[in-house]
Amino acid sequence: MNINDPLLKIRFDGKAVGSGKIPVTHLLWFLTSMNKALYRTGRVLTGEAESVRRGPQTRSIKEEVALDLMLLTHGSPAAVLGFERQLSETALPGLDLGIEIFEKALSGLVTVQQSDDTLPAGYDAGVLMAWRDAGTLFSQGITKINFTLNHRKAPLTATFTPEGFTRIQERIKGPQTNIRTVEGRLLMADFKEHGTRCRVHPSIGEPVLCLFDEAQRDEVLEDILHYVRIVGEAKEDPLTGRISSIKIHDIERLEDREGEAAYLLPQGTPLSRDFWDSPTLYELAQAQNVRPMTDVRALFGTWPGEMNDGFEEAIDELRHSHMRKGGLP
Amino acid sequence: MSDAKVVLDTNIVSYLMKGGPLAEAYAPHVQGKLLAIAFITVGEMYFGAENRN
Repeated sequence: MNINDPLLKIRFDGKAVGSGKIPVTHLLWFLTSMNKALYRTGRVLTGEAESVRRGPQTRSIKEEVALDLMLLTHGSPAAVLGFERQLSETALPGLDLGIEIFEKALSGLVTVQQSDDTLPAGYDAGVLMAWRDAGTLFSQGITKINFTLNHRKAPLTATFTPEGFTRIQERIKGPQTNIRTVEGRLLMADFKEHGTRCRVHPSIGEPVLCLFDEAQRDEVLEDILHYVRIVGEAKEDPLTGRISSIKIHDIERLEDREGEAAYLLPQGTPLSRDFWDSPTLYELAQAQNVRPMTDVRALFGTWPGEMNDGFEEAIDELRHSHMRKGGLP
Repeated sequence: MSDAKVVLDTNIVSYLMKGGPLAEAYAPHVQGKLLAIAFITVGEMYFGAENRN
């Protein structure tokens, strides 16, 4: 290993960086996003249909793309970082998954910044969103990010630019069919196999039902309880014009608006006791910030179904069917 | 905090949420009290929601 010529070099240009100097917040944000992009590329390459599907993480991919920061130097006036893989021994030439991931992730990054709509090998919507997250640095004083992968005699280079970032955002949004934007606190996600959905509660107005697909699952999960901007294809009530649902194309966390609609967040002080302890009802109420019901009528009319929907009968049937089958005494 | 507490069974929760005559009948018994539901009621509410879809 040549310390001055590491496997991966990343150069940041822009007024936010100085010669050999980069804000820690920028670095953390970028590395987190790049790691996500690499990992998701690995999952696509190893046959995952959608890179962001939840499940036990494939340890080998994480190991394959794990990097050590070896070098922080300057190009004038840029900051240049150098990385080496943590894995000291690689697989047989041509069968090195880690190198393939780096190669496809970076060559793909060049492709997705161009006008072509097809996705390169190793890419899906989840990978695009990870690079999109990395690209938010372009609004924070970074003007260009250069990558050099020294994996072969002829290195692979890739440049990430603000124009390319815009193109990636356009790809994520997809065709412009009644595209609308909703901002609010993301709550109540449902990850059932049939129909993944969540709700966004704006600071003012009714919550909006949002639909998403498997490739967006991790992004939604990471943003639960946070204030977000959702862009997607909206369905509207023809009479009121109100958005009845929105199919998510893009979801982005709005860090600077975390204070809004904070009353929607779960309140109370969690109990720090053993599972087998039995807290009193009062202790539970305090932990969940539940107070005596001052206006019981506030509950009236909050049932989401019909008055005569058979719910009580169904519960009665559910409870007693076990008795008839002899399952319970 | 009020001393009065009531654990509601599933049908009482649905009556109160639906409103109507049954809600009116139960309302005086829960007004001003600390209300709780058991975990099984949470499960049954989910069951009802699943069945609706």
